[in-house]
Amino acid sequence: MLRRALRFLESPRLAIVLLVYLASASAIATMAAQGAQRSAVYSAWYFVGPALLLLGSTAACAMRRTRVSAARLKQVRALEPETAARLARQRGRDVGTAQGEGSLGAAAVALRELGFRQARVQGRVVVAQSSAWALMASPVFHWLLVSLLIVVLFGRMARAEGLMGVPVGGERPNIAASYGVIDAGALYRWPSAPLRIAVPSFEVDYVSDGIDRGPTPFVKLLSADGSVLAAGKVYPNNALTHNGVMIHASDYGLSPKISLVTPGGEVVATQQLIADFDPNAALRIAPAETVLTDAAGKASVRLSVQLYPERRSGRVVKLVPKSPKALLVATDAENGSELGRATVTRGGALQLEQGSVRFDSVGYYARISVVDDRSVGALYFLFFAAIAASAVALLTTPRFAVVAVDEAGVVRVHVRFYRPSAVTPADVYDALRSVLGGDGQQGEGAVDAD
Amino acid sequence: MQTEVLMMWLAVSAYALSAILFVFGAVFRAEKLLSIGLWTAAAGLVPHIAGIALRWQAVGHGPFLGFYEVVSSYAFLAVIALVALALWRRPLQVLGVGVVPVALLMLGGAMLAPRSPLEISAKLASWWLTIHVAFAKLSYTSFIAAAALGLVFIIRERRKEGSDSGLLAKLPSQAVLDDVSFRLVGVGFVFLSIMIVAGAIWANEAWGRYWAWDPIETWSLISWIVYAIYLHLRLTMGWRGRKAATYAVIALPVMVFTLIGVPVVYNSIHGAYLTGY
Ligand code: HEM
Repeated sequence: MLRRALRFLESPRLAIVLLVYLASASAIATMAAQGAQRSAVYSAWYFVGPALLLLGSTAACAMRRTRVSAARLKQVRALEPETAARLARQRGRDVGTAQGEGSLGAAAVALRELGFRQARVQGRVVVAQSSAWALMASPVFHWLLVSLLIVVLFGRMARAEGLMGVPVGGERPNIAASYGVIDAGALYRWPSAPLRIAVPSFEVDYVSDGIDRGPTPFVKLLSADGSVLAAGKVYPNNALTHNGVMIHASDYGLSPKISLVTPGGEVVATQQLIADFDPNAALRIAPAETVLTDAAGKASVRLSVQLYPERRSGRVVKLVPKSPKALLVATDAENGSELGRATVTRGGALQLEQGSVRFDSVGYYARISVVDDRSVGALYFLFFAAIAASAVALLTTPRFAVVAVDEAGVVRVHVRFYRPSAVTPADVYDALRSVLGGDGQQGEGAVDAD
Repeated sequence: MQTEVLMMWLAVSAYALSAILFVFGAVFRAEKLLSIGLWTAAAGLVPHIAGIALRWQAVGHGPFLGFYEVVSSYAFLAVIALVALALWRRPLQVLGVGVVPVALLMLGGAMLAPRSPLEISAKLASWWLTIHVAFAKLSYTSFIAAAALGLVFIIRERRKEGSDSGLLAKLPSQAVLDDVSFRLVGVGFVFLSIMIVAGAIWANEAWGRYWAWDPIETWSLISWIVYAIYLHLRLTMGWRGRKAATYAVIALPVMVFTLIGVPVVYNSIHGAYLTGY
């Protein structure tokens, strides 16, 4: 049963059918679907299923071909001079007569020039083979493909990515609750000692090397105990990274700061809210909402803070207003009835029964994209290793040859190419004939693909 | 700008003259005309590279932003590939009959497209972009050359044994054409892999995701699979000669669609290199 499954997976036809299927399915998906619908195709069973089958098939093939290539390598390396001589006698071609001691040495040199990297003279025979690289590159390449697919598969499941808003001057712990949008894979584990992400400063327009980098936060990544792990300006192509955590700047908005003040003038709570520039409402900035808690810890008031944007020559600009103004609306958190509203400038307050809500200031907040994906480093490594292995596999031709001199001084050569190439066995015979100065019979030699 | 345009028109003129020589040379089987056509095209490369260099200096980035820069650079590479193949095996210069008129149309079309420079934006300012673009060009050139050799192979195969006319008879043997076409696909495949990987790394550095099934990403993967299938058919199913040559020719439009068709057909963040931002 297992053997039959393996036989099925090893079939070169299956590999081709699956590759054709996956290419066609991808092509149809790009034409038929849009947006999220489109990306859903690539995680649907009819795409992932065949991809997994291809993974299994590639692993099965790689296994078989590792065995075959390793056996070939060993077989030729362990070839005894007598066996080699017999092989040349039985299967080889006559390429001339030996002209004394140096003939075999010259033949070895000629073979090396033809790509038989390891050509050694043993008594009256030369055993020559392409390098181990040439033999093993293709199976190694297929193993690397298998590893790559597995790393991608698990990487996707063990990855988390999300967007969080960090007010400039503030920080947020890297926990699920800090995120506005979060997409964590099934295998993702939130760290027990979460990192902290701080944004000490921010520039709306940062220019370096003559290139406008756009809105640029300065981000610090802190360990749970507060030591700085990484810090820097974050703009496109200049992410902040630390151990698989990668931070990009996604957008920015405003961050109004409000305080809850008792009738006696004591500040009992301060909050920095997050407000986005609303692309649909040119007049206002989308309201930020929060629930204020009194000293006893009971939720009592729901507050909405709506900022008026800065306008320059009649157009809204995405900047902190010069003289900020906010509409504060308080409602009962339980029944939703309005408790009061006021339009205030900086320092102004909305008076309520329990005390007042004060509009302290407004600054920027940076929307930060955080990706936690430990697989990226392994992925980059596998990318390059796979490319290197495929290059070696495609640019070399595994091959071996034995040259033997019999008692009468006749030189015979047996050549085998494990894959067709520009250099043919006939070229090998010609080269040997010319170093030996002989004129043996014409021959074809063996070429095969596996 | 003035000198650049002048250089480009000089190149267009040289390619136009060369195209005429090639067509006449092929029609009248006059090898001399083909040779002159080849050298005329090679001469056109000089003002062409000068034009590209002036543009590079003026806009501060290589030829990869906008239709004018991209298509003109491919015309340049096509002629370079022709000259290289002809230097390697002189009779291959007959490929100029197909290559030079196409290069002429490409460069002519590029000259008529808007030439206003596109700025390097912060998103594009990355070393990975340079690698990505360089290997894209190398891989497309390899696949074009492989398809061209495949075409020659097929044309010659169609004529009966021994009836090779003067021009075709001088080409390298069918076995050599077959092998070189395969090697070119192999090299193109490695270059294409590097291009895709550089693109994925760049996307990760720029956006924090290495793969998002964007139409151009998807189509470059499709082209990669299309050529992986070629390699398998050849190495595991023993496809040689006419079958392999036909495949190399038919695969090329997939590649060209990825480069030129996708940015036009799909509204993708990625198509900007042709259609502008
Ligand atoms: C993810 C899927 C696969 C891809 C992208 C792929 C790609 C390639 C490439 C690029 C080559 C040429 C370079 C080389 O010789 O290694 C190749 C060769 C080869 N592949 Fe695959 N392959 C895949 C799966 C498979 C499977 C499932 C099989 C099993 C049938 C297979 C068997 C082979 C064989 C036998 C060769 C020829 C090796 C030689 O002649 O030395 N491959 N493959």
